[in-house]
Amino acid sequence: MVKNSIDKRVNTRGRTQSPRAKTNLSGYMFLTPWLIGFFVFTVFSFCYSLYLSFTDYNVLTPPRWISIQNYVEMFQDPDFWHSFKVTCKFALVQVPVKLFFQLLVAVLLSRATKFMRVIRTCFYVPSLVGGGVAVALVWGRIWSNNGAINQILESIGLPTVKWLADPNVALYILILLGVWQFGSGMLIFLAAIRDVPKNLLEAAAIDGASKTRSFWKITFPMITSSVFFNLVNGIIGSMQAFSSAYLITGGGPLKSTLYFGLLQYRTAFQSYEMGMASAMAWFMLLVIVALTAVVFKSNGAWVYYQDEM
Amino acid sequence: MKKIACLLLALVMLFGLIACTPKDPAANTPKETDPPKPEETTAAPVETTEAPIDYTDVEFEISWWGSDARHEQTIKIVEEFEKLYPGLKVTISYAGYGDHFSALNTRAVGNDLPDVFQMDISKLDFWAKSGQLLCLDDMIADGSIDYTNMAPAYTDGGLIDGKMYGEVCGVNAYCMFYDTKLLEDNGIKLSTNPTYSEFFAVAKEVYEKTGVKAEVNAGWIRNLEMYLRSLGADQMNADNTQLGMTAQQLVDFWTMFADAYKTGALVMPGDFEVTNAEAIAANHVWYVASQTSSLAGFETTAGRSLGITTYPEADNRTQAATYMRPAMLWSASANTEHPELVAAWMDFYANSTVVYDISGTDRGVPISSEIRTYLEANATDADIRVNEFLDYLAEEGNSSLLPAPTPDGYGTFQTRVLETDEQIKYDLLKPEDFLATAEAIIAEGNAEIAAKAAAAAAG
Repeated sequence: MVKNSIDKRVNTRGRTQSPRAKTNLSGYMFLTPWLIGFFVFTVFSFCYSLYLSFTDYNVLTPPRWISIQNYVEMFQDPDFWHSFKVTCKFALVQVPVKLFFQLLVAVLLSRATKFMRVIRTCFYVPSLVGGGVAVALVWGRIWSNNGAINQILESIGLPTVKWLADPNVALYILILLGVWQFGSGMLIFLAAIRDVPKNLLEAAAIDGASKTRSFWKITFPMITSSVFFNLVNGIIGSMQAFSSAYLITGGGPLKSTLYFGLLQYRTAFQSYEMGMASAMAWFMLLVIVALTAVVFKSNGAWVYYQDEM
Repeated sequence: MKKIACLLLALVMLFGLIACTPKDPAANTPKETDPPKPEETTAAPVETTEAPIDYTDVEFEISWWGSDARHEQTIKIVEEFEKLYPGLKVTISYAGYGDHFSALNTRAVGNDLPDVFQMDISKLDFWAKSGQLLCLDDMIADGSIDYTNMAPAYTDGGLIDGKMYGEVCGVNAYCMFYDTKLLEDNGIKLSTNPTYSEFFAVAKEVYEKTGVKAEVNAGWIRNLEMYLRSLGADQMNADNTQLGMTAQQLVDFWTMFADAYKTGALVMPGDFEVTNAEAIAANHVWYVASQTSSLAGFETTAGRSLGITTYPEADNRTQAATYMRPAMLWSASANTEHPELVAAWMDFYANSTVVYDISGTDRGVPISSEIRTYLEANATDADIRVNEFLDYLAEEGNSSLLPAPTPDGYGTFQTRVLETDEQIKYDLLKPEDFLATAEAIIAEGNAEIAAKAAAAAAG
């Protein structure tokens, strides 16, 4: 009998099947439950919503093809541009502020103090309770005209502010809610800071570098990959903001907190214009893709990955 | 050891999967997307309350919206219904108002509507015309739903184009509630059917004497509706194709409110973030908008007795604005597999005294004259006052006809009214610009209604 080479096995039909192909196949088979879910719930919905964006669809009657009319109407709607502006403003303020706090607290916590674990958990808890409904409602009550914040201000003699009723202030209160939930990003920074090789920092200390200098010249450049990660996540998350406006201000006052996601929700579920809402969704998708593409393109210039040495 | 751990883990995941399957596997089987079947030949008039048929395997679902109190009551009512059908286990689902309709929309797409669900008069037209609702005419005609004690005025709320698509649960009327003790203690009187002049004067007096405000504004569409109706106009014109108000009427309405906002007697944005009933309890407001069916619940939360008036009406009014309307309805899915149970439920709900022993007038004043008589014997104080108010409305000249439901596209105008009110409250819209704004939003509203009508005709 001819001895086959190690790389091939011949099955009864004479076809060859390398062990690698066999491993791949079993890998894919393990993936099938997830793949099925992915195709049915994500890919299908994705494609169907693209189709719907070219139709007039009010859920109870079948979709009616109207080609690009939704997009034309959408770009001419002042509310659309206003909500896009509000969302961009929201993202533009929240992302850097949140990153700053994430980094700041991570740096503070990176010094191994005795109660570090407890303190770290305390900082993480706000994001655990998460973007939940209960938290948003409580936040709304705290900042309301008769809420806790104003009561504290009154008791120490400071003037109160109509936080959520003033169109110039309300958005910042919602941004604050997002920033308050900085915990998960902070943990990522914390892990990255811990990963910085200690010998580099020691060498710098021996050479007489101050703590600040060694942070900005050594630690920070080495954690830029985490900064990049948090930045991209932050952009995507804040452009998709919805629940804080829906639950706390309802888009008001005077539409100052009308997020794009909220306008889209109303178009879909109050005006029953699913086609238009799908068009809005695709617009936002393209915007987010463009923004993340820009960030990705720039990463060569400022992001350091540990495996490129 | 590792193998045992792996096996255990696999078993746990398997059990998790099994536990996650829906209770009602048949609910996921797709139903055909046929044109609506207005009626099926009901399974013979054998469906009496002593039916010996076993209903154990029957899948029947009822869905409604409401507060916790209503949920508990309705669950008990469903249990009473189940007693009539041995083995029947009705699947129930309930949510808040908005979530209820969002869920219905989603389920309509999947042809998976509940057999019976709560319907709101403002949405009845939309749902009926989309073919998703079962027509109840035949079941009423053959007596499966017994309407012998129902005067048409009470049941007509469920008619769309002359066909019955919903059973009216009860009637109520839009009205205002006021804190009787606060007014009495300060020697202030408010008539049952006030004009805006009277109301603003009372509000100012209450605010000056007590600091408590009234929750009345120009953005709530109901205020505008009642104002217009008292002048002989309405939200829509006579054949429901265009908006029914003139720009000048809007201007007069806004001017009235712009002046009133300056007095500080009306609630402004951000004043409080609780519900109206809680705000009364906390002495933030004394006058709120609601409907008669909510009186009992309001009084419980507010912790005090409340008086009832109609919505304020225009000073130069020519007729009564208020109308009696269905508080809510029961509608059925056109694709239901059990129209006989649908009829049984509708009949049970309309005619069985046990329903009203449990829930009283929570869904409005009952449509059956027999039930109304039955309830009088056990009426609570709140019920008596509601009945008095409705009797007042039923008197000649104190109420007018139910308007047709507003058409698709009306929401745009409604949103603009709300936005304009906000601008007036923040003093961003000046009185000299009222006319231009009124003309603009009327034009926009009409365009949107026409566009939706054209789309519906084309589709």
